[in-house]
Amino acid sequence: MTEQELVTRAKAGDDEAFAQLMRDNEKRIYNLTLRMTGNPEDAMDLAQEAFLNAWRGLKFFQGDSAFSTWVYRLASNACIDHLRRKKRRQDISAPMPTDEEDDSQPDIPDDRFRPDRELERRELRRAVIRGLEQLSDEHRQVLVMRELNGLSYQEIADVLDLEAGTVKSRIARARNSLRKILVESGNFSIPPSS
Amino acid sequence: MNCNKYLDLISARLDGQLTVQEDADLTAHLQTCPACRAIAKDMDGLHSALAAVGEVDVPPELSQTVLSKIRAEKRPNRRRTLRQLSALAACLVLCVTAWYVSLPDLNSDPQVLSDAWNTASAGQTVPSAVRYVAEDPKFKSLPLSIDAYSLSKTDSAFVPSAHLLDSADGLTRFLAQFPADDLSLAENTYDESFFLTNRLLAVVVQESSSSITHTVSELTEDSLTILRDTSVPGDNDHPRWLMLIPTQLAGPERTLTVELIDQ
Repeated sequence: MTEQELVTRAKAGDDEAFAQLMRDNEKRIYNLTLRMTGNPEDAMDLAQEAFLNAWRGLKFFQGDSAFSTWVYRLASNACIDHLRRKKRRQDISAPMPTDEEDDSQPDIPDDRFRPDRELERRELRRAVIRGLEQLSDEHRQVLVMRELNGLSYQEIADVLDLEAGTVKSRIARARNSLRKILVESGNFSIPPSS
Repeated sequence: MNCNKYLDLISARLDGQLTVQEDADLTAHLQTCPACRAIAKDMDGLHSALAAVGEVDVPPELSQTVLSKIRAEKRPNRRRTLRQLSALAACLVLCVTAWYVSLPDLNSDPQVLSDAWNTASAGQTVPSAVRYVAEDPKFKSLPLSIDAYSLSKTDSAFVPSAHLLDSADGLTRFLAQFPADDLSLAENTYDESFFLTNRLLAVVVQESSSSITHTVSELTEDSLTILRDTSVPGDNDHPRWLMLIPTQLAGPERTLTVELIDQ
């Protein structure tokens, strides 16, 4: 059964059809919420919230985008709302600069990637996950969508209601921010002089 | 040398997003710029490392828990979906005239109603319809989503109403008029941080017999239309409905119209 057929059935109240839509999308949704929050419990709650909101709002899903894109957007919004609430609770007030404000030139790197010498693959993986958690929500969001969930620039633009050019720029700055974090944590090393 | 623009190109190349010309430009630049060459190498390594992070398996209880909640919501006197709401027969004892009459009362609580709604007026030019119009320079659009809660009690003096809430405190005061219902989910969902960038449109209708159906016939960026149909039998186990519709702030000036139309 196609996604469209499942959506039609779910709109008519068929919760088994909706269950199939969930199974088709849950891996991508859960991985998004997990990487955005870094916490399996929060990730589970937010993924559930996204699917529940999808069910409740199904009547108004017009099919302008794929259901998978729509529910992904709900999950993304749920994550951002959650992180915003969490930050307020923790009284963390220092805002991260947005990519649009970051007009500085990229720093000249003083380190270089050396997985062969410095890190086992597993260690590097952990370092990258920790690095992701240190990024601004905005940067982590686009990197998770692009690098972990494999969304295209246009899909990310659709989910976040941005221009594709902005997505391209934001991903570049997110990558550069993560690179700098890994440099500072010693996971990139000083390049040889040449 | 201004290397800033090459950061975008270095990144986009990892995603296969460069045109032939951009690729040539970047290649030429990298041959002359050791700093960007090092960044490109770092980013290439980062790209591989991120790919190695991979995806984790989904806990099996995720979809099962959601399904359980969906089925629980289908039971009477619980939070309901709009799909169900529109399908349900819903009854309104009061006529359109009552809605008109309700407007002064609607405006009587400035703590709940925003300034925009204090200027709301009935659409006298629309026969058999009631219209509230909110003009708010900060109002952006209605999203295509809506929460519906079934409320437990009816009130013979009830009149349908629409409210635009602009703060968590305002929502709390608004919800306090339904003391018999557990609306903590709504209160928790729309907290202070929500109202930083959003407002909440709240619409209340009442059903207390089984001869009228309410249907949300249209929800667009700037209008909500509810049809009241007396020709369709319904049920009477959901006497009153509260609909909560989040709206975003910021954007060009817009007009929000909420209509209740008799069919």
